[in-house]
Amino acid sequence: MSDDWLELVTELLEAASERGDVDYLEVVKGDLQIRFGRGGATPREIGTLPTTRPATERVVAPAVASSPATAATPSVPVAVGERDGTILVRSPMVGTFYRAPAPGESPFVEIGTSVDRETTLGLVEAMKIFTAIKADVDGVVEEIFHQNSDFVEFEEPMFRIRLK
Amino acid sequence: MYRRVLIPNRGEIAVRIIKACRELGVETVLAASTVDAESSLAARLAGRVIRIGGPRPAESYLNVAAILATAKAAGVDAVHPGYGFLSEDRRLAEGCRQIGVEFVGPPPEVLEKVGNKATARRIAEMAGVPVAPGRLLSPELSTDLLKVIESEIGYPVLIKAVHGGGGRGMRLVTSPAELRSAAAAAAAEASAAFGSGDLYIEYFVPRARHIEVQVLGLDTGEILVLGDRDCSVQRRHQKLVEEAPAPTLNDELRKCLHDSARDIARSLGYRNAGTVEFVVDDATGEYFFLEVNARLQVEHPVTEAVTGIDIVRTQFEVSCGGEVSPLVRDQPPSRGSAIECRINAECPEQDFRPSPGCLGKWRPPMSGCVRVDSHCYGGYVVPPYYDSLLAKVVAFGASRTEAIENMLEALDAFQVEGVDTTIGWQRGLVASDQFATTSIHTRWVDDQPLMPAGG
Repeated sequence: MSDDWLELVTELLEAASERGDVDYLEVVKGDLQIRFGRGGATPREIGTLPTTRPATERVVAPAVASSPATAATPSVPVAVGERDGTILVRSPMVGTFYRAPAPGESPFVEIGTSVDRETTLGLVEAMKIFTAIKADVDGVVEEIFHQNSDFVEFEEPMFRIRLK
Repeated sequence: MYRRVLIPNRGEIAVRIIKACRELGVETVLAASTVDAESSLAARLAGRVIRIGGPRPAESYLNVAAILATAKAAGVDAVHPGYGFLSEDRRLAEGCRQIGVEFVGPPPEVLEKVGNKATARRIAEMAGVPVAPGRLLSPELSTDLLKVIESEIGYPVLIKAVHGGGGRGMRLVTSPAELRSAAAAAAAEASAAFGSGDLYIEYFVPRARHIEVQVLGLDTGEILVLGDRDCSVQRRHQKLVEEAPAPTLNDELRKCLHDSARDIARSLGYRNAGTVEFVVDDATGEYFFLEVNARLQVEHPVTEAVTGIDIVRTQFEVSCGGEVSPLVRDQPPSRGSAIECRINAECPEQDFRPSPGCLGKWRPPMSGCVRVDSHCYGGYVVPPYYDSLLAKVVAFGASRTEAIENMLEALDAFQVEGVDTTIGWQRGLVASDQFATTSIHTRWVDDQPLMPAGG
């Protein structure tokens, strides 16, 4: 590996480890691509840098939050598929996801919790405006795709519910 | 210069802003509706795309909380609001200030003053700038008020929404008998569109040219004038063809307009790019202040073409306290002439009915004297939720005649299939004698029977 490359990869590893939630980094040199994520053996992709610069240039991982004013962790777009007998509940708003009604309280739901149409699964907050994520179906929580304080996009998949 | 910028906008202007950012080495984050996140050109060009809401503007591009939350989470240094949507919204500018992010535009206090037509007029008057005779229209329409309107203002009058823009909530009234019903209709439309039914009534110049001046407010308080534009080719108060420099101004009138624009901007404490609009009476040579547009204008490319100044780039430079280009500072005289046609997905033969749909062929003109600002591509589905602008075709030349020739060539070379467009209609207009002899005033298009396509 050339010196330039070694320096680049080192810088990326440092940036990635600063995040604290990244344990996977992949760099592909031809038509430069950089992927980083978390999840060990089957990493969920957190970010992919678009190939807008020549491979010799330094590249900074785009999802690293720089401003100290950032309260939520950057968005973690999740690649989620369909699964028979289940539906995905998506975020009704862009904003910060909260699993519990207030800090210190128990989460609204866990994996395995039974829910019905009216059950609140979580909250999304944007500039102090809170919106409830409702189940809208009868079923059981099978997967939870985001952590407390994650910043999520509009219609981001949040929960997988197995239908009754 | 900023490290990262949020762009809560769409269409051609989002592409334009991303382009300026790329040239400056600034990272871009696009805040987009679901439909734009999926298929827009801006989404493909931006460094990162964040879906902030559903396709309807109210759910996404007009959602202040969503945009601010996104700016915060994406760790941006600044927000460039583009034009339309929240670009002149005090709440967005104020919200940016609260979360420690720069708003690329004037401060909220200036937006507040400029957003109210009555206040803006008063500021113009105090700055010694001519304003059209007019007054706030109270709902009662007393006999006294009616008398005042007849004697002080005189018919025809234009009823406008105090908090409005874009030609909506406006009614032209030619006789006192129509006033009551026109005011009621305008109030209802204004209420629905802008949340306020407050009206203003103003003398209407029958043969008017719409001439506007591009200003730039620096941090020092100094106001620079970058140039002027003529936007008289309008249909129902919507601009269709613009040009720079304004072709009918003599040196004296040009100086008056530039000075007035500077005076108003200075009184407002204006910062960053803005445009001061005037109505020039074609018959008498008198001019009146119309309004201030406290944002980047759609037609900014014609000024860029004749000055060599990159206005969007300059907006970033002024906003972050950086150096502006020598062209901005030294202001050499403008060179040549530039014309812009706003190509819309509309059917001119059917009263310009919008024509959204899938673009089959998309082959814009390409030549050294033509610039096309667009977000379209072959296969793009033009969504029905937003305005119908497909592209801005800007043609320039050493003279106005040359610019006209280049525009005609460009429009003839423009191939679009899949939606109706205004290309043929604009081609006919630009080729017309009236356009060549600068005889077109702001109501000319509305007064014409449909022009033959192709000209």
